[in-house]
Amino acid sequence: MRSRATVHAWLLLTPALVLLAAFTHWPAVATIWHSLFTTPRGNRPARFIGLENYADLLDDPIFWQSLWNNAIYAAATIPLSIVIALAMALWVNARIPGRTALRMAYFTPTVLPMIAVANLWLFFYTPDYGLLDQVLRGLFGFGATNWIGTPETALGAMIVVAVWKEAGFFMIFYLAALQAIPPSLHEAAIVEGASRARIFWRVTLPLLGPTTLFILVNAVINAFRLIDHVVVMTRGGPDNATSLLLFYIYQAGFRFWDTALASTLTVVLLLILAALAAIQFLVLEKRVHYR
Amino acid sequence: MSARKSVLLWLPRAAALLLFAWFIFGPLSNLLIWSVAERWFFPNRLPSQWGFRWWEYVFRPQGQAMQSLWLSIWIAVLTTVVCLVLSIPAGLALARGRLPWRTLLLLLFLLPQAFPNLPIYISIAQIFYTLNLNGTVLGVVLVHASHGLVYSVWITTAAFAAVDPELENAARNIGATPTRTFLNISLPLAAPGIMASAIFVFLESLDEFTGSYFVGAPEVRTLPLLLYTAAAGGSIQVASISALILLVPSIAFMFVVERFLKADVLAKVGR
Repeated sequence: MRSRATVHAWLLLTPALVLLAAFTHWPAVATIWHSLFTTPRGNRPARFIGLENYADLLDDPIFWQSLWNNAIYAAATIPLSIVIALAMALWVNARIPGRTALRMAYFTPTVLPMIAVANLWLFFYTPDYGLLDQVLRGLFGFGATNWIGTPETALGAMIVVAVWKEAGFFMIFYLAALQAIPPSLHEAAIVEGASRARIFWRVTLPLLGPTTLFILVNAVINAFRLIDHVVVMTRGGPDNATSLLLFYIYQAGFRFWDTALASTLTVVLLLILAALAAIQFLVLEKRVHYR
Repeated sequence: MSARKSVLLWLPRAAALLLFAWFIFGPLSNLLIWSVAERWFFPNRLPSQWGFRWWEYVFRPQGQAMQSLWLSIWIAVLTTVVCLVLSIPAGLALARGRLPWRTLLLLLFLLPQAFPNLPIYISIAQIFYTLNLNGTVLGVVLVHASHGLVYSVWITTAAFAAVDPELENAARNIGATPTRTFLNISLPLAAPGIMASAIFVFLESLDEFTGSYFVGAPEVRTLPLLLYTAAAGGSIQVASISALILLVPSIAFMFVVERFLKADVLAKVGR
């Protein structure tokens, strides 16, 4: 009986698994395999060269620049989007007038297509015409600033777009978790005479632990995965100031048709993600309280 | 509490609210202005000529934008159907079936989420080239579906897991067949979660850019692709209007998601 149920389960599962394996798992494995070969060109087929692609990567200045940019980008977007999401969730969870409308407003950026987001921020950042420059000039008398065309501000501009897009999505999960906390815990804390700050740090925040871990994993992945806005807004420029790792892969694969470089970069990116995932699960999992 | 103290308490909050509102809606309003700007030259702060000329241009029957919109919706519908047909059985099996290595299987379904999409599209484009699937609707649907499956399998699994097994057992005890139990008990109870996953998949497909670009372009021109070419070609008005059209289904579905995606399903994601 038991084995028959297992067979049924497998039959139900197989179609989905086949599609996923054919169009996701297999191409992923192929990418890793390609990183050990040269790029095939016209009359020259791919040749096995072992780890030579990786050795070349160490001497590639654009690779190091992309890695550094990505590190800054991750270090800024991850904490910013999580803190803003939590603040917004706490805010719209409170009993304030018009909270449904507020909740919707915060969620809007999340449902917008990334390509539309990139375009509307492109207009927003336009020197002189853009609303940002107009408001800054009106309020503080700033001159025209080419936010995405200046190496010093371009990466920051990309970070703001990413936070704008992500925070609402994370807020939804915090909101669901906040509503799942039994009110009796808060009441008990109030009866004990705990201050609001103390209730937040000692009751609410620990109970949000599993949600925070889930959001953190997503935020880390997104920091290395979301590049549509870079493709549309800056194309990695100016002077590679906004070239993130994945954007460099895009450039190598589709601009230069260098599959060897693209595959090698992909494996490096995967290793980074795997290392981060390992740290998250080994270090943080132990500190998170599940109920 | 004195009046002055309450002002001191509320002023920073109101300022923060205003800042948030501007941060969220500032970029959106800029898009709206551009869509009705017929002429806008420096150093004018606002367009010198307003009008709906570009809206007429986009919506004229022979226009590319309407074609692209219908094509995008058609692809999104097909993708949603493919994903649901595959993920309802898979979700049921993962939530209820006695599968060895269940966690490992769930992980297999989550893995693509962590793997960067771009290199996968490069490989898929190469595979599709040999299968003659590049530039076809089927090719784009397959790419969107394999991407959407990650969401739909996880959410449907959570939805079926949230159904109380006691209800299914009760139905079986009074003589219902497994199929009848599934159709009359499990499926209706899991429907809100399944609906939510369908909406996610539909929206992901509608908005998907990178995969369509590598597998579909230039033959299959979805709305995001049109938006990209319009913006790259300097046609700001067409780009803003296409972006606004893309917002409509997203915002409409947002209200539906609010209704369907309940806290108890969300809380079960990933368990």
